[in-house]
Amino acid sequence: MKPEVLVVDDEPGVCWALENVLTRSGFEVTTAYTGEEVVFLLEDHTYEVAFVDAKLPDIDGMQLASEMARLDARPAVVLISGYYYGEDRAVQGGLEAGLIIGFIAKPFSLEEVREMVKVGVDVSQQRKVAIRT
Amino acid sequence: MVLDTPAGALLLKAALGPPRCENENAGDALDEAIGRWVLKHRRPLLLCPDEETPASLVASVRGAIVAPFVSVPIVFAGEMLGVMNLAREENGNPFDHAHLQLASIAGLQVGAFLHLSRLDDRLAERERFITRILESIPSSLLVVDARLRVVSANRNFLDKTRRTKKATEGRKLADILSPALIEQTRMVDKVKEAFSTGRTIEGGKVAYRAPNLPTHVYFYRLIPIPAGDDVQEIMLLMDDVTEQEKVGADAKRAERHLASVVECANDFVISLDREGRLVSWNPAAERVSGWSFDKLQGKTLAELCTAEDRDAMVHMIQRLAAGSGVQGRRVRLVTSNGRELTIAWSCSPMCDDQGTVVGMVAVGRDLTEQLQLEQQLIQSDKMASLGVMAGGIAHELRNPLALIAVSAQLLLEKQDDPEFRESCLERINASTKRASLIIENLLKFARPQADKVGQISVCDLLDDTFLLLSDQLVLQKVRLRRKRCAGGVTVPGNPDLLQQVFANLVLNACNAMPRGGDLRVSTSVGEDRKVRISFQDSGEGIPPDNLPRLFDPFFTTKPPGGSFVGLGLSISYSIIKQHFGSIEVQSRVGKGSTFTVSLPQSRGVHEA
Repeated sequence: MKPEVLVVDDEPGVCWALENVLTRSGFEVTTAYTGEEVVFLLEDHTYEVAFVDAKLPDIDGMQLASEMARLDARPAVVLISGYYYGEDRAVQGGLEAGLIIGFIAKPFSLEEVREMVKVGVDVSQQRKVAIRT
Repeated sequence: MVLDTPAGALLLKAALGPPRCENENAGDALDEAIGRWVLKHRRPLLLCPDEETPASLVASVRGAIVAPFVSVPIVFAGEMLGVMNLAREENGNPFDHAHLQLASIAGLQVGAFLHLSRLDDRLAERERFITRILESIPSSLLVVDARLRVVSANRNFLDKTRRTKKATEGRKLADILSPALIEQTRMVDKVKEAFSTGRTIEGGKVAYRAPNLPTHVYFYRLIPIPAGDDVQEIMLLMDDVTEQEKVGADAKRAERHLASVVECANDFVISLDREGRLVSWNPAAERVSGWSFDKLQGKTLAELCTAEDRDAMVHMIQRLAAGSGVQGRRVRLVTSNGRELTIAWSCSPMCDDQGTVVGMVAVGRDLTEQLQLEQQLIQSDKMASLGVMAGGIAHELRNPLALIAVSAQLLLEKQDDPEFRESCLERINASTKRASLIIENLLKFARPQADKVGQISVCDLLDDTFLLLSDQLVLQKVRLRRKRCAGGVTVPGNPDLLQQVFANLVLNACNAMPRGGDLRVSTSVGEDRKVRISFQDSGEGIPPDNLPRLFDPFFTTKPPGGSFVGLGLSISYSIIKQHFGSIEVQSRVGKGSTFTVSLPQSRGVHEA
């Protein structure tokens, strides 16, 4: 079974790009444009990794990440943004708090995405093992 | 008895001899009755026992005639002047006709004497009358004869010069007036001239100072007094014009004062005739415009305006000519070297005593420097807005960049599917276009305002503004709800400036909603043909205390050091004022604020 990845960005172009990169790397990709959609999807679905845009029309990306952290089957969240720098305090804070596992600045390279999704899947796996034991 | 002509009464003027009877009143009445008879019949009367008493006298003389009596008229040149009565003692000899004749001759002589004395009286009265006239003339008057001796001086002259009549009349003119004055006015020559020509000479002004008195200024005239074909005397008439001179001097001083104000002013202070032609042009006008007044003779102020503003000036002059004032109207002038100056004009009509407009005064302030400063301020506000917008723009640019990067990288990985390859290329193309559109908008916004004015579609301008700010709204989780006006409306104005106002109001609204919210933007046209664009946020609202200071420059509630310097609203306010509009704000703390911009709608049929 292919690992499932969630892509959340209000920019359809970005969703298309990530969807293509990840699909071609062998992942099952679902896209969402708003926080509301994510909440709806998470009701009956779990994802290994979630790529979340920092600024969504209805919710802040980091806030969405902390919402997801409350779930038992929480996805490993990678923050993507054209707004923040990697060194931004908000990003660093999210990393330290474990809300996000990584940050990708727009525009990004395919390698970055492929690298990050691998890390994400690993983190997710480790978390599942940790929960079981 | 003398006849008092106007009253027709006989007055007893003289009586000689003892009283004729004990009852004096009865005697007087008898004398008068007889006198009247004589006057009426214009003939002498002899009353004696053998003479018949005239019937009309019988009643009055009955019993009273106790003495001989003669009454003769006093006549001169046929005019009855009075009556002379002669009576003798009771038992004296009666008068006869010889007495009567003698008495008649005496009556004629008395008549001649009486006439002369009357003439004399009349002459004296005339002289007194003329003297009264001369004395009451409020001018100084000297009559001078051909030898330049003073024949007569009136009271006014004597009072003014502190002289007596005695010490004046008969003296030489040069002794009366000072020799210096005689010299200065060439009085002797002028008097001679008046004698020889017989014409009045308007002498002019002289200053005369009597001892211990302040100097008085006189206007003098030499008026010949003709006697037949000859001129015997000259009247020197001197009017005291000291007061008028003083008023004139005061007026001149005030005039000089005003003139120096006009001369020293830094503003244009110019006057125009009713048609708007230049009448005066102060040094500031000359300095600022470069036009010297002699180059502007006969020109109208409108001719100096820029081609675009000429009609506005003509309209302004028409308003003034109709009697209305103009305040702070901006009309541009062209300087002598072709530069444009924006001048704020305040003008008032000048009216004569009847209230008719005879000209106008225009005071103009060169706003060029002020406008430059204003533009700098507007520019710095724009830069401050740009600082705020930078985050949104970065975000907005990075999305298409991300799409281009991903598509390019996917293509580099040599995709087999031609359809997918095409899709990648299309996205690269579309994203590039989008990125350059964002940059174009940004540049448009950042560029210093162009001096372009036109008819602006409000909805299009709002579209552009939101295109520029859409990511800012997303970043701040502000939902935009737009209500467009049916048909679209246009307003006259500068699109760059109005866009800056809209951007300021949107950024303010975003700022008022730190946790996001709704921004409702609606456009409507009122019955007053005002276009109203309202920006309603669901933010924190503005405390009532802050409302009055809201449009003050540098007023901000944000902590110092942020991107907001507090210029936005004050600049927006001045921009909207320039567009003859207004900004109003309604706010409730905790509910949000509504900023409403009102602008006059475009006139005419060119509405888009």
